[in-house]
Order: sequence, then C-alpha cells, then structure tokens
Amino acid sequence: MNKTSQHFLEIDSLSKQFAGVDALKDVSIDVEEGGFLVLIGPSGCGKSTLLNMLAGFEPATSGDIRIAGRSIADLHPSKRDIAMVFQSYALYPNMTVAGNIGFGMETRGVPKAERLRKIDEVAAILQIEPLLKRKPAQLSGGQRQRVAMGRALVRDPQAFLFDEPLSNLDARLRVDMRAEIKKLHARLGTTIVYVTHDQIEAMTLATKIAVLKHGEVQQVGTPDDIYHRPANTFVADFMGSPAMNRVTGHLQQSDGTLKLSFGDYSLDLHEPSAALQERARTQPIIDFGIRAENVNDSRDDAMTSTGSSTLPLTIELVEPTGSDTFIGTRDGDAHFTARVANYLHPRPGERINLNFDMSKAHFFDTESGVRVE
Amino acid sequence: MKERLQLWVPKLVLGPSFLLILFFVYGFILYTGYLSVSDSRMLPSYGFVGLENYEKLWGLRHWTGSLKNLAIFGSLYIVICSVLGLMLAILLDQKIRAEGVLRPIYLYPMALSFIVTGTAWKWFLDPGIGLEQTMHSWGWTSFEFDWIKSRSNAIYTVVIAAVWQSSGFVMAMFLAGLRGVDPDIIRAAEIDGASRARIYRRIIIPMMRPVFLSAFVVLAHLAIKSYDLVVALTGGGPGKATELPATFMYSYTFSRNLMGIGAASAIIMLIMIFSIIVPYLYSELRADKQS
Amino acid sequence: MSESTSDTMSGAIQHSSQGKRMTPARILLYAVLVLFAIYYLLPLYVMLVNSFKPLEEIRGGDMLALPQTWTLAPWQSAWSTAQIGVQATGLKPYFMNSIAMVIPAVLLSTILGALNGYVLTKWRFRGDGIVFGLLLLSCFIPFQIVLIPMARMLGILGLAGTTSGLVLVHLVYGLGFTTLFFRNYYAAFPTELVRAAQIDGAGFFRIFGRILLPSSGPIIVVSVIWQFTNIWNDFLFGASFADVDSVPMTVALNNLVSSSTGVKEYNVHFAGAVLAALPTLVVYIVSGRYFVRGLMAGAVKG
Repeated sequence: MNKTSQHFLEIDSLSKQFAGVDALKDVSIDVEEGGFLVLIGPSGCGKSTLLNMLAGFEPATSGDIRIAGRSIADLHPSKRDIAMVFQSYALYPNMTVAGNIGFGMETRGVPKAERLRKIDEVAAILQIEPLLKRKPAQLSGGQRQRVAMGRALVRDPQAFLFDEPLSNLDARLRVDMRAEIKKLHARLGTTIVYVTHDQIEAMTLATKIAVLKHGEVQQVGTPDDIYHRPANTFVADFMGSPAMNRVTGHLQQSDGTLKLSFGDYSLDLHEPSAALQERARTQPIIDFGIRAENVNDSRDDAMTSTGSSTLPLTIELVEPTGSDTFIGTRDGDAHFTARVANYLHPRPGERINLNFDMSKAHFFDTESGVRVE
Repeated sequence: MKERLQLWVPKLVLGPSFLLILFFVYGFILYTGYLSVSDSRMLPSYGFVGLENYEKLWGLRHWTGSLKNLAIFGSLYIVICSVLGLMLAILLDQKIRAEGVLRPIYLYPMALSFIVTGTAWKWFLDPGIGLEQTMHSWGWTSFEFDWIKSRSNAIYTVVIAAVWQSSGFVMAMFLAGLRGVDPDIIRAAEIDGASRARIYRRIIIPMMRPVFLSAFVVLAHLAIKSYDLVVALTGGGPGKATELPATFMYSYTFSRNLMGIGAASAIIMLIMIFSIIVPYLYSELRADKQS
Repeated sequence: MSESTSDTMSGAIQHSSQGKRMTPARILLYAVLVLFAIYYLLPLYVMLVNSFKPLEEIRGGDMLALPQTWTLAPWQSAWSTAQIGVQATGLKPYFMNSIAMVIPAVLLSTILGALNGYVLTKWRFRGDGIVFGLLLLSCFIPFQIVLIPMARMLGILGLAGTTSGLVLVHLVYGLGFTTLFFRNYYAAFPTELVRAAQIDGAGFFRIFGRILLPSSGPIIVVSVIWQFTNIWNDFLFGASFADVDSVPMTVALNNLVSSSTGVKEYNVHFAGAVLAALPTLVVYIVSGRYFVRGLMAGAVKG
C-alpha cells in the first residue's frame, strides 16, 4: 500500500462496524499538508468515530490511514505523531497547567530543563503564562480551552485533531477562540482535522470540508464548493443559515425560454445549461433550490442582477437581524425566505415583488437528491 | 384560612421527625453528657461530681487498653480495606467479562450481620476445629494458627473478619470512582504516551482522592462503633485483649454498674466520631451548595 | 485488529464490543480475581457445608469436605428445638420477633423519610439546612451515647422490653438515612414540575402523591432494603432493650452460639447463622444493585 501521492493525510476506504451496524462506510478523504479539514454532519453521522479512528482509539474494520505516505492505522495513539484537543478538554485534574502541558514530554523522558523551556514557549504563544501554576479546577472555560490547546501544541505533531473544541464555550468566547484557532493555524501551518456540528465554524476555518451523514461522505470540497455547489439536497439543506429555499417544480420550454413552474408561479431560466434543457425533455419534474441572499426585494436596485425573474408574494414573517432583514413569504405552497435591505421596512401582510437571481439557482434530482448542473 | 394552612403543612410534616431527632438524639446526648459528670452508678443519679468520672476513666487500664486496641484495629482496618478495595476495583476495571458475577461476590459480606460474620470466623479461626485442624487433616501437621487464643494476636483476628466484611464495599466505592473518570482524560494520557501503569499512578489514582476521603470517613466511624463483631468473635477476650471502647462502655454501664464512667466513655466515643464526621459533612454540604 | 492498540489501551476506554484476547497477563489477572472470590465465599461455604454434617464428622477435621452423611437434623434443631438462653425453643420465635420488628420500622421510617426529603427539597424554608444537617449527623452517632437515656425513656413510655419499643428505636435512628436518600433523590427531581402542579391548583399532598411518588420507585427500594438490612442485622439495640418476647434473631443467634452449657453443636450454630443471614442475603441477591446504591448514598453525599 505504498502508493506515492502528493496528499499529506490520506483516509483510504475506511469502514467501521459496531456490532454489525455500519458506523462508517468506505470513507476516503485526502488533505494536503498544512490543510484544515473540517468534518461536519448531524449527530450520529460518524464524524467523531472517524476522528477517534484517526487518533487510534478505535480500530478500523477495513481501510487505511496514512500520514506522509506512511500507514499509521496499526500504531498506538502515542506513536502516530498526532495531538488531540478534546471536547471536554480532558485536562488532568490533579496536575497544574504546566504539569498538564509537560506530561507527554515527561513520559517520553525529556530532560526537565528542556521541558520547562518548551512549556514556557507554548504558554507564551497562548498567553497563559500566569496560569502555569494553577490547577484545571481554578480555570475558566476559555482558559481550560487554551491549556488543552497548549498540551497539543507542545507535542509539535504532524497533525492536530480537534473534537468539537468550542462546543462547551459561551457564544462570545466561541467566536474569539475560533479566530484564535485560525490565527494559530496560519502561524504554525500544521495540518488540522476538526470535528464540529457548527456550520459557521466549518465555513470560517476549513480549507476543506467533508459533510457526513449516516457514516457516508456526502461531499468533500472547499467551503465555497460546499456552499455554492452542494452535491445533493442533504448538503444543500445542512449548510447555510437560513436554510436554502427549496420547492419541487416542473421544467418546460415555452416561447424559446426554459421556465420552472410550481403552483401558480413560474420563473424564467436565462442561459440554462445543456443538462437542464435535456432534463426538460426527458424528466421535467425537478427540485429547485435558491438561497435567501439570492432572493431580494425588486425595489432594492443594488441587489438586482440581470438574470433574475420576479414573483409577487405576500409577506408572512419579518425577522430583522440588524444588518439584514429576512422575510418569510407564503402563497399557497410557495414559501420562500428572502434577504432584503432593512431600510425598506417590510411589514407582514404586505405584497412584495421578489427578484429571484436564477444564475444562483440549484437543481437536484427529485428522486436521488443529486445535483443537476 | 386554607391558604394559610397550606403554608404550614410542610413544616407540620417535617416537624415530628425533627422533634424525634432533637429529643432522642441531641437531647439524649446532653443527658448522657450530664450523666458523665454525675455520681450515677447502677441507676442515673444527678449529684454533680465534675470531671471525676473522666479522671477515673483515664486511669483505667481497661479503657486505655481498649483505646490502644482501637488504634491498632482501626488503622489496620482502614489501610487494608482501602488498599484491597482499590486493588480489586482496578483489577475489575480491566474489561473483565465475569465482572457481573465477581462484584456481587466481593460485596455480599456487607449484607450480613456482624454476629453471623463473627460466628463464621470464630469457628474458622479456632485452632481446635477450623483452619488449623483442616490443615492437619490434610497432612500439614506443623501448621499453627492460634491468634484468636493469643492475648497479643487476637486483635488481628478482629481485623481479618472486619476486612472480610467491608473491603468489598470499599471496592464498590472505588469502582464507582474509576467509572466516573472522563474517558477523554485517559485518551489524552495515551496520546501523551503514558503506559497503563503510569496512567493509573499519575492520573487516575490521584483523581480518587475524594473516594479515599469518603472511604476513610466511613471506615473510621465503623471502626469506632465496632461492637457486634467483637462480641460475636472474641467476646472481648482472651482476657481484655480485644476490648474496644464500644464494648467497654457496655460492660461498665450494664454489667459493672458504673454508669458515670460508662457515660464518660460514650462521650469520648462521640467526640472521636464527630471530630472526623463533622468537618467532612460540612465540606460535603458546602461543596453541594456551590455546585 | 492491531496488537498495540488492543493490548496497551486502558480498559476504561475500550468501549467497543470486541473481546480481549487471553494473554498471560490476563490469565494472571483472572487468577487473582478468582482467588479473591474464593476468599469471600469460603466462610459462607464452610457454614453451609458443615451445617449439613453430623457433629462427629465436623470434629473429624476437614471443614472444606462435603458431608459424608447429609443430615437436616442441625437445621431442625436450630429452627425449633435448640436451647436459646433458658428455653429450648429453637430460633423460630426470635425469627418471628425480628419480622414483627422489622416490617413496621422499615415502613414507618421510609414513609417519614420520603416526606422529609420532599419538604427539604421542594418546600424549602429558612433554616432547613440546619434541620437536614442535624438529621444527617444523627446517622453517625455512636449508639452507646443513647443507650442509657433510651432505656429509661422506654421504661417511662411503658415500652421497655417490647417489640413496639424496638420499632420506635429503629425508626428514630433510621430517619437520618431515609431522609438523606429521599432528599438526594428529590433534589434531582425537576422543581418546575412542582411549580406547574401548584399553578394547576394541587396542594402539598396531592403534588407528593401524584407527581413525586409515582417516580420514586427506585429510591423507595433503596430505602426499604437499607433499613431492612440494618434493622435485621442490628445487635446492640436488641441486646440492650429486648425482653423474652421481643429478642431479635441476631441476639438469639449470639445466645445460641455462645451458650457455655453442654457440648458445642457447631453444625446447629452454622444452621442458625445461615438462618439469621438468609433474609438479608436473599434481599441482596434479588436486588443487590439497590443495596449498593444505598451504601453509596450513605458514603458519598450530594
């Protein structure tokens, strides 16, 4: 299994069964050196199992894991040259902060002077020097988080594994620590695998995102790919807030224009792809999706693009978020969320003309949910 | 009217229990306290004699001997139970398939009366009939084990029987503690390359400190209260070799009719227990409030 | 799958279902564990085996051997004819005394403990911490401290030497434990449910009976088992306060075993000891899980 590859971390057809049930099915993901891979999915999707297999806590049923071309699947966790930051931080409660950071070096027999030097170095990076003599119980959540990272950092590993490291922090601290992890990654350039269920974390941190569901990879790609070209309806629904507008419609050619109709409405598709035109002939029923930011008030010139199509709808719900205002509309079966500028002051019950930017529309097969380009 | 009554119902419900405890526990403690400074002999009597009973008490070799026995018994009992309990808990924590069978076996003696335990061990340790005799009948004729008949060693037989009864319970306490350790901490230590022995020594056992404390408190107060086991196993003998404060109090109060001295010894026992229990409960309840 | 992962991982973390292979170290581990199981079982085994032997066979030596002649005579003797104190009644009447004492004492202390726990968690008032502290502390007092005044008080109440007197004693000194059990259990019970029931107009007893009691099953079992075991096994109070008609099983057993008259009938003593141990052993075997929970609650508060 010594195939050469430019990839640094290779997860190769990894499968895992628990008592006959598939926890992971044939998962293959590659990460380049210095990359930041985020594993995301709903709970029970197998993301944590996958991380535990990378760390060496769970043996694989089949498949292989390689770092820099070397298989690590049979190695003990301490021999894999990885470091891990746990969700609960898992700090040793009876040791001081310095003791926690230095424990790995202690077990490896690193001389004391060297140990202290490295502890100080890491403490400086994370700005936890004043805490070195304290016990974990005397630290705040954010401080524990830093210590947990310090313990990982001091190992200077080939890869960091993060298991939902921010989920125990309050909202404000989470944003700060997120930025800090990003800066740390930029500074160290070490490869990171990061598990989360928070899509904002995934979008902001990752160079590559893998979306999992029921132990299967749904899509692997850059944050841009995942957001703008979701491979199927699951990814489209899971990523993005508010969730993507989706409706099942009917493609038809009329007057030389391809139209998508649903209920009493129809939208024009400018410059449709060949696949869609073909689809209109063979299998006209299709799932249509469009994100809220691509549905705007027609009065808002700044948001209106050339390839758009307009529908008159009634406002049911107005949700101001400060910078933008989201409105929910409902007319029969057609309900959409749209993003409008807040100076337009939309009100519930009002009729509104909504522009649909059809160049940003997504289409999925109704049966399989797979993207149609 | 009904509303007002509703407000009083909780206190009326709790009241009887509170009054019972106040009277039968704390009132009685005060009463015994008074008897300990009175001239009571066969029956309570209320002539005040100051600390005379305490002075007499500390002059009695019977009493100082029972305190010495308690010190030997108590320290061995606590140390052996803790070490054995921790060891068994760690061994059982190694994914033992038969754990469900073994654990109840280790623990069942705790469900027995000390009188039953004493009866069984008294016979087992009796050189004329028990272990020694069995070894002889198996052909090991030089085997000797007569501690229970020996003035200097009999106290150790009390330790043997008491450890047999309580060590399983300490095992259960430690096992619960071990099961409560965050598995991620162990994983973190594995990534740090620590061996299993090292993980136990440096991380898990130090985390068991609260369990050690609880075990100490429970075992210490059981040791000070020990009465039944001694009565059933040795009757305090041979001679006074296994007398403990609890048996001393009983015999001085009810057999020797020196109630004042008996009451004084009970007060000393109470002070010993409270000096261990009160700080412990105080810190436990405070920790409770904070969390 | 790999040797290093399965052998060096700590037991506490391997939750996966695959079994462990039998290495020499694990064989040694099992050997040690089995050895300890034998140590704990041996006294019980010796008692049982020898209670079925005729006396001559016991004198013959080997206490571990199974009986050559099986006999039920020691059991019959222990139960109905053995000399206890001055009378040759066997242990039977004392067994009944214990039953008559245990049942009311267990029920009363559990009911009161449940109500106390309910008040102390859901109807908090100023000073409830002190009430609980005093109840809790009463669990740990050396009972020698109450022997003298209790003997007098039982005399004053006309309960000296009666089963009712013993019930009162066990009720009083068991209250601390039962209150502790229920308080800790109800502390984790959502107070919102009590508030909601109050808004619905339910009063003190209705809330207790309809909201808390239905989900109190496990802690009632813990409390009943704990009280049953403690009261059944008590010796000190029985020896101090009981009279001919109320002597409990443990005291009778001790009288049987330590009577100095005549030959020591070891086989009868063992049968008697097993009889005295039987009720608590049965309870332990049937519901050991709850027994352990009671022990733990008594040791680790909060």
